[in-house]
Amino acid sequence: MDINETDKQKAAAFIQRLTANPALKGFSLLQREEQILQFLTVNSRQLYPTLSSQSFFSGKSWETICSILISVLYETTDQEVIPDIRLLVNKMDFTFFTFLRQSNLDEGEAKQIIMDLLLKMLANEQARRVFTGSLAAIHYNIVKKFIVEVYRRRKYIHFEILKVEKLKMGEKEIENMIDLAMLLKPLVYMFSQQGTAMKNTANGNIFPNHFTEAIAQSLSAKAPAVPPRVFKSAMNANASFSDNNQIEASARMGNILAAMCRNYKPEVKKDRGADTAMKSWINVARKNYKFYGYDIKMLDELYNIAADNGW
Amino acid sequence: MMDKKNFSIIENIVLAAIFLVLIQTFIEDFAVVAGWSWSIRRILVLTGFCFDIFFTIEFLTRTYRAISRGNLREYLVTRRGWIDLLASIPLLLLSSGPAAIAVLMGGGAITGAAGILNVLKVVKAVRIARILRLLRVLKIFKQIKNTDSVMAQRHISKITTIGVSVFVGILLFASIFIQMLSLPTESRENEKVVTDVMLAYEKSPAAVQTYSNLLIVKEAGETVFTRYENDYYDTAFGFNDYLYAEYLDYEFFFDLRGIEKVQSMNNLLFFLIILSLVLAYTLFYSPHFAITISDPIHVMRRGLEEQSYNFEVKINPEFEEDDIFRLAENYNDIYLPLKDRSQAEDEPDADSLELKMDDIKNMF
Repeated sequence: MDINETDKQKAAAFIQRLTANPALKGFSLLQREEQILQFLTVNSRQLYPTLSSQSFFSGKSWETICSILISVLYETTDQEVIPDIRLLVNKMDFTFFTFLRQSNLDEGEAKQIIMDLLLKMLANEQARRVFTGSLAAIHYNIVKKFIVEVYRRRKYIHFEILKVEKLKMGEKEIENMIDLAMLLKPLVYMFSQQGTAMKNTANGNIFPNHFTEAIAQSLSAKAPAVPPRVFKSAMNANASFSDNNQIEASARMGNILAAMCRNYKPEVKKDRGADTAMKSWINVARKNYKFYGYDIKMLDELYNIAADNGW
Repeated sequence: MMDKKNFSIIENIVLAAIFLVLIQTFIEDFAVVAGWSWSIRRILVLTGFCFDIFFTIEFLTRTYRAISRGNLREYLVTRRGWIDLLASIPLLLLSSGPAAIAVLMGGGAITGAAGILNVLKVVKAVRIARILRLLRVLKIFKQIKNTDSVMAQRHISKITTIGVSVFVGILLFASIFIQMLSLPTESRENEKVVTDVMLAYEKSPAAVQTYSNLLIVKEAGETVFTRYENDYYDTAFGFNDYLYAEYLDYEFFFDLRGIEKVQSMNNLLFFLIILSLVLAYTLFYSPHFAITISDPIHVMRRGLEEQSYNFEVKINPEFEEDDIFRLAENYNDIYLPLKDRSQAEDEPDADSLELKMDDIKNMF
């Protein structure tokens, strides 16, 4: 969509003031973006008379105004979020690739490919929404928090990762692999089209396992620098464990933790008498595990970890 | 009409006055026990009188406002205006008022005691009425919000009011009954001794003068015996620290400070009991009420009202059989998962967003 410079400036000024609003303090960049998108949708009736006045976008329909604002909003977010993602990817340690029988590790090339994929992915609105959780989980080191406990306890999750998925690597490598799987998880939306069979949930869509497997294969073919098991884990993090109990443990873990962090706000103050945000989320997920296709045993262990640590 | 800011300032002044009067009440009795000089105690008596005037004006103003708004009953009963009433007018009329008059009329001066007898008659009423001052501790509850929950605040206030009122009521009625039934008390024992001393004085004045509570004896207006110098009487004795009596041509002054000390010690004890009661309810019962009643309700209410509020109620295993926690269990296990599942289908609403229209009203 072509936006003239004047409209762009007005939209940028409006979006700038919205993003700077103190009410949005504590939200991550993508969470903030989601809040503003919902704000525009919910308050369209009140906003339209002012935004269609002479001082803003005179005479334009709400649809047009909205698309101008959204386009500028994405641009504004991208200006901040892309450098963050680049930094995150550059900081990631891909030495775990060697444990996945990737003989010719070229970390620089892998990082460049991943960055290119992520930049393309950001053009997809649904992917952006799911990416919110992945990014927050990596940003707040959520995987690390849980993996340390998983290794200490050596229970179900540990067994599933090491013995069933056969990821024979250390704690740090597992953490990096799940982080990367979470980061790549929303790539599936680049391939989904209208008519793709999927289940819509509040935590993102659940795709059929044969679809996610096919996408993983396609990505592996396009990006040989990244081990196929990484793409498999990342894509299967969008599939339901109830439909296929062979889904990799790293994918199940990535799916749960990314969903948990979708609305995660570390500074959120819980009311007296309420359980912690993490425990509350995991317990609700335990009740809805079939709906979301989570692994209930994994949720049980994560719940115990969160409860024992007061998270 | 009084604006909100001015009203808030006045409420804060009232709150400050309540704190100060509690301190004043304590110090006034402590001064008697510690044997502070009359000049200091005199100031304390007059300060108490000023506070009683202040609280009487406060009560009358609130009553006037309630009448003009047609909600007098609500003020007196629901908002516990009866505490304001009992802790103001009766104290002014029966306690600090007569005391202040005695002080201002020169009743404190033992050596120039005109009209003392009339004052002494009301001393007993003064002492009984002073018990009502203890009710002022409850006024704090009306002013301070010790919890965010209106329900919790009301329940804690109610139970504290019942506890303190029953205690003060028992003290008050016990004092009245003791007076009415002429039961033996230290004061009455003292009166008996005083009568014996006066009767015996004519026969053997030297022997009677050894009675340590006898301060002054005057015969036909002339001082025939005095235990201390006049300066000491002026500095150490207040209007209710001595007893004046006449027999034949004799006038007698007896030291009552011992009895006053005992009574003030009792007052301090009662005061500390009430403060402890209030503190105990506030520090121990209030958190218990919050944990077991108001907090779970607050979390459930927010969860029901706000689309994005998904915190579970923390269930304390100790109280899990309580109805409230059984309800909370259903909220956690049934309602929240249902709400979570339905969020995929529901459009977001304005309440579920952190950013509200009000937040951007200055932008346009």
